[in-house]
Amino acid sequence: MVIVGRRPARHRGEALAGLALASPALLVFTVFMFVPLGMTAYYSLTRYTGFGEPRFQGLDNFGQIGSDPLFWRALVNTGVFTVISVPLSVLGGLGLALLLNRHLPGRGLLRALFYVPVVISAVSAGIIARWIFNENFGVANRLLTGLGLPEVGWQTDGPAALASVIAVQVWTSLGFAMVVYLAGLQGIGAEVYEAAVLDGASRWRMLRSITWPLLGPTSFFIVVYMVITSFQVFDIVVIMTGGGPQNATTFLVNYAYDAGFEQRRQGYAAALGAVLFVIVMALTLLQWRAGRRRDVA
Amino acid sequence: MSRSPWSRRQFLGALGAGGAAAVGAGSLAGCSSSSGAGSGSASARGGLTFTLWGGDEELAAFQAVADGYEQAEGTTVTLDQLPYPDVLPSVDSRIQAGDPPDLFRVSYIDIGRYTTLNVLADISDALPSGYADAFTPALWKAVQDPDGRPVGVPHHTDCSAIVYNAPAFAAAGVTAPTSLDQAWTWEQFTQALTEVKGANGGKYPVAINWQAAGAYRWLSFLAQAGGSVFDDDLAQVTIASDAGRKALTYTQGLYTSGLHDPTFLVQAGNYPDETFPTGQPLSIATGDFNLPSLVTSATGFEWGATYLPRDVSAATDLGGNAVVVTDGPNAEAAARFAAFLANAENMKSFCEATTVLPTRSDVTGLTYAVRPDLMPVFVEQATTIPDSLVAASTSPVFTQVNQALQQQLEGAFAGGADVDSTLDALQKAIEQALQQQA
Repeated sequence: MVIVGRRPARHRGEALAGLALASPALLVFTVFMFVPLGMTAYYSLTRYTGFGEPRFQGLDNFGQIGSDPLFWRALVNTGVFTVISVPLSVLGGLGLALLLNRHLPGRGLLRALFYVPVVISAVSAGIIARWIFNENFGVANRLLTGLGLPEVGWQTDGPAALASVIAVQVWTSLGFAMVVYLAGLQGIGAEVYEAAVLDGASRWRMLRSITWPLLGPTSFFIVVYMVITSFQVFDIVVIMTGGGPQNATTFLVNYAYDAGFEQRRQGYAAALGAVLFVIVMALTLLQWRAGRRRDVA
Repeated sequence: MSRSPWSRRQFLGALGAGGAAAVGAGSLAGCSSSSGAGSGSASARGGLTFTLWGGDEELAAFQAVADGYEQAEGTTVTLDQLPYPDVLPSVDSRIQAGDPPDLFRVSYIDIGRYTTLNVLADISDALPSGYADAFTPALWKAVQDPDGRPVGVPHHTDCSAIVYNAPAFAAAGVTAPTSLDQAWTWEQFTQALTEVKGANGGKYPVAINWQAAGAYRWLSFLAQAGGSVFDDDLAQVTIASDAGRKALTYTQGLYTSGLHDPTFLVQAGNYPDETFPTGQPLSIATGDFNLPSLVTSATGFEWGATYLPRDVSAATDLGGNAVVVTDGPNAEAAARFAAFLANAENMKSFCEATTVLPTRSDVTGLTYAVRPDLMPVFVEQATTIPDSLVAASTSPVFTQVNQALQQQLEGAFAGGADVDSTLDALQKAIEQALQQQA
């Protein structure tokens, strides 16, 4: 009885201590995330230039978004960008991690080299890429012609320009996926593979039936993280293509930034932000549910 | 951001005593008191903050004026340098937060966004008698609010002209005009570019600087054809006109005929002056403010300057920047610095060091630090900035005008959109901007 009677009191104390210790973080989240989110939701219902008082206008901004061809173009671009860049980054990162999880000469150097693009600024990466993909004298087209292939209109052809931005995004995010996968791989016990070898499993079978399932939580984290970051792509595009040609590389965040800070339509930009938030939240929940079903199964 | 003045012991004590709410309030109070003390002490010292962007030469020239002001008046002016695209978003955020910089640099094409917002200070009292009379009237008007009160100073101007690869033009036997009255007509310009392309292995002979926020530079061609964005009262949109049709047909033709470098469309991440030093394109339209960077980057060949082509008249764009004073506690001191910054002596030294043009008629006999042989071209070209373009460029809706130009010109140049439908779309977009402004 004594023990039973003391446990809730101790739990209450632990809960209070936990709350107290978490309160700085909660405060930061409240001030820098929840309050801005709430204000964005409010501004999305107003006409607001950023100066003076916002004028409430209900759902007008969302109605305008629905009939705004540039929004739909930016949404499609962002979707295509995500659908292509995330799998490439995830699978590429896994491949590199599998490769560099072995004993190789210069393994540390190779790991560092693949991680370098993660730590250089997106602006620097964008400027480098702008020169690489320059149609008149860039390295990309010189390599293609050297291989006997036709030149590509990286700056003048919409799909090619989008491909160049995707390539840079994958280049800058591969290293992150690699490092996280390396950590995941090192958490898988060697005895599991030994048992599989004794059972006569092939390398491919071990990858498919041991490595990939046991990396499930890691993959879940990487996919969620990369979907979110791909929906937030901004600086690379500004530097590389300016959103062109013909809006082929205009993404949602670029469009929202332009609306909010260039055109000073901050209510409209907030509505764009709210739409972006709902999309990313829905995608994250879908992935979370899929991940939970997989874990239960 | 300064660190919270709290010690670890105080912090833990607060945790135990007040929990989350106490910590929250305390942290915020710590933050605000420390930052508040910072700005307060800056005011007490009489210091001013000046948000600006600039190249190396410009920053050095601004710093020299700031140092001179500190020596003369004892007031410190701290330059808050930001990249160009970040300046206005930063200024906007700070104005919204009630903590504006005391002064900020703003281009003429953006100034209209501020003069109508009641966020800038009337600096009349800080200006000596007759101060305004020395300035180009149209530019002095640009720094006035709707009630005619000056809120800043027109610090300098600049304009675009053609900078060309001299050996490439010589190889084609093309001699560039050396005086404004001999400037190429559109037809002559096309002919010259065709010859230059033919003599240089098909390299693109020209790229105009209408990328990104520079889309408005297309209006030079509109003005050359005799057109304008608005009527004289800025009440009616007049871009969809015969002159507009002529200008758009001609400029679209530069792309379709293979003369304009197609990698420099309107939506682009860079401007032609970035690649000109590599030898492509063979000529660019660029502002005189780019001469210092070209001198250090375009070292592999000789290059010269000539005038933009002309049609029924010569015309170029309104470039340059003003410095405005925000309506804050230091407005009076900031206004005095603005007046000092744009006095004849300081304007002259700034323009000479940074190869830009003065806005005062009493600043003459400049000795430019960089390519003084080419600056007369820009000085003469600047006389062709039409008043209609100055009025349009400094109007409160010019951001929307520029935005519409970015979208519609891209469609015409990259996608081959029909000239009439492009002009109609421009007309409607600008009319809509005018209606929303009203």
